[in-house]
Amino acid sequence: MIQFLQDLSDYAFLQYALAAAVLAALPCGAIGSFIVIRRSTYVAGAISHCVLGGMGLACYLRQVHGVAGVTPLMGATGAAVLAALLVGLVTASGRERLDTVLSAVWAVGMAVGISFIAATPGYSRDLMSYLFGNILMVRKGDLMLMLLLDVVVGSAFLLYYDRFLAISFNPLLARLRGVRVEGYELFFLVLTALTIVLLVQVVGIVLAIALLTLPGATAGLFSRRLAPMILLSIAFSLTFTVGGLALSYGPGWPTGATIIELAAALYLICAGIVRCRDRLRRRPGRVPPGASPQSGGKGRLPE
Amino acid sequence: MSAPVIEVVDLCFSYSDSEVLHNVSFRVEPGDLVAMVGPNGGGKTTLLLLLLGILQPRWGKVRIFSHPPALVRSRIGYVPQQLHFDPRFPLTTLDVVLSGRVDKHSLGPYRSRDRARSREALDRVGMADLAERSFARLSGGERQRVLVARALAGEPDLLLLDEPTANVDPQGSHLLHELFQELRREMTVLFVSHNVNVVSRHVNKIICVNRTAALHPIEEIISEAFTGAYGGELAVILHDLHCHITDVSRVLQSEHAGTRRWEER
Repeated sequence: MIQFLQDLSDYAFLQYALAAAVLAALPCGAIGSFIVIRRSTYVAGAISHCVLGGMGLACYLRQVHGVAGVTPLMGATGAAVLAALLVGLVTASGRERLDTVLSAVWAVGMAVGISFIAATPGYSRDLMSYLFGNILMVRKGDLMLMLLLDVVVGSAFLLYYDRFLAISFNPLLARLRGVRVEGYELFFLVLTALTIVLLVQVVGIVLAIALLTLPGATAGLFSRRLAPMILLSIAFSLTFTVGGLALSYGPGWPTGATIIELAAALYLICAGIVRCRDRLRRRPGRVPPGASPQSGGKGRLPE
Repeated sequence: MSAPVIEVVDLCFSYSDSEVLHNVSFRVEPGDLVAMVGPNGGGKTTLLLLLLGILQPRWGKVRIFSHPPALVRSRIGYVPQQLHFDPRFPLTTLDVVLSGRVDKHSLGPYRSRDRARSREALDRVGMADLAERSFARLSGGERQRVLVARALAGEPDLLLLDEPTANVDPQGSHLLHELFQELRREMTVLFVSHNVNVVSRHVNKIICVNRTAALHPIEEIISEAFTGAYGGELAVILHDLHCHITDVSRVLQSEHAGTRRWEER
């Protein structure tokens, strides 16, 4: 941790890594909270794994066909948006079983990615960094794209927050209020896809799903209202990404894995604290605030 | 004569092979307070979904304010019988009521006007004190009243309610019926009643639904014994006098009955 702080001012790659950690955490906290309350983590998992197809294709085009200017992050963005649209349209049609489609998108995306990477000379070694992330490899150009994605996701989220909330709470009631439910569902999936692209840069394809759910789940332990939950979730996301980066830098641990382990540890600690607090509140003999001492209850001894 | 709020003409509807509604026609005028009654499975909720434009008629037409229902949804307030939602969904009572105004502002967060209207609506159903309470922690009856407030927050011209007092305690039920009576001055109200034989005496029309439907002005028959039992706020419906629903089986054997889609004719 101390070495991280000392080196931060000296090394540009570390500054880029810190900026990437912050840029990924902001939409992650907001969109992640919605994913948690909508119970749609499996959708996010399918989109994030499908991203490998786009990254592999981008590497292949760049290396084998000399298409300059195509980066893995661009490929990831294209694949994520495509997967989101596919999942959204299939869901809206209601003709297919959603879990079957998600499993197919999940596995086919990865298969396509591995095939392209295998066909690209010298790129097999990058597979690990795609799967598990390498935040220290973030370049200035990637940061620009990440900043753009942040602006897009952040402004769309703020503008359409109440619509997303309405369709998440009860789609039928939202539809009867004139909200185009299918359109907003699709739009939300695209925003989820863009957030996943940001996370892939930090923790990789496999671990992105954890960073999309653990901050929201941890925040949900403390808040029964969505707006404070989202703010807390953003704070937790920042703590996990920046904290994980700082913790892993000195000992040379894999950053993505450290971020997720830190997130999981803090979630377990918070869940333990909340459970103990609730148990103490429900302890037999304890009179709840405002209750009449004559009202009996669990703690009342038999006469 | 002003245009009807609801106009249903020769409406037939079936789920696949089984016909649920047959030859339903009625009109509801502005300012009416209408109770829709009938046995379970008689098609009350289906008829309500047709009025909302969620289901489409196989035959006949439904017009709300002279338009197909889907085009005038912003003028319709709807209260479902039961709300399916995740009990861990982090929303307060006020958040739920605010969602009734989701179409009333363009983009961004709800405005102060939306909050004011939502609090007024909560006040009208006697739930203003619970505005900041988690919606999931409310009782079934309290949730039902919040959903009525949600519908009112949208400032509708027509309020449709599916068994609004089914889970509400007697005091809350009385309060809601008083509210419906008060709302007649501002909008048209139609509610499905879970009680086949007894409705609030404030209603001025009753639609009896049992595969077919008939609309009648209410006939009040309040005996002393009945007043003693129900407190004088209710009226008995004598179905054999007012709603000719006993001869449904004969009606269903007429030319419209069957499995063919009506629009294919």
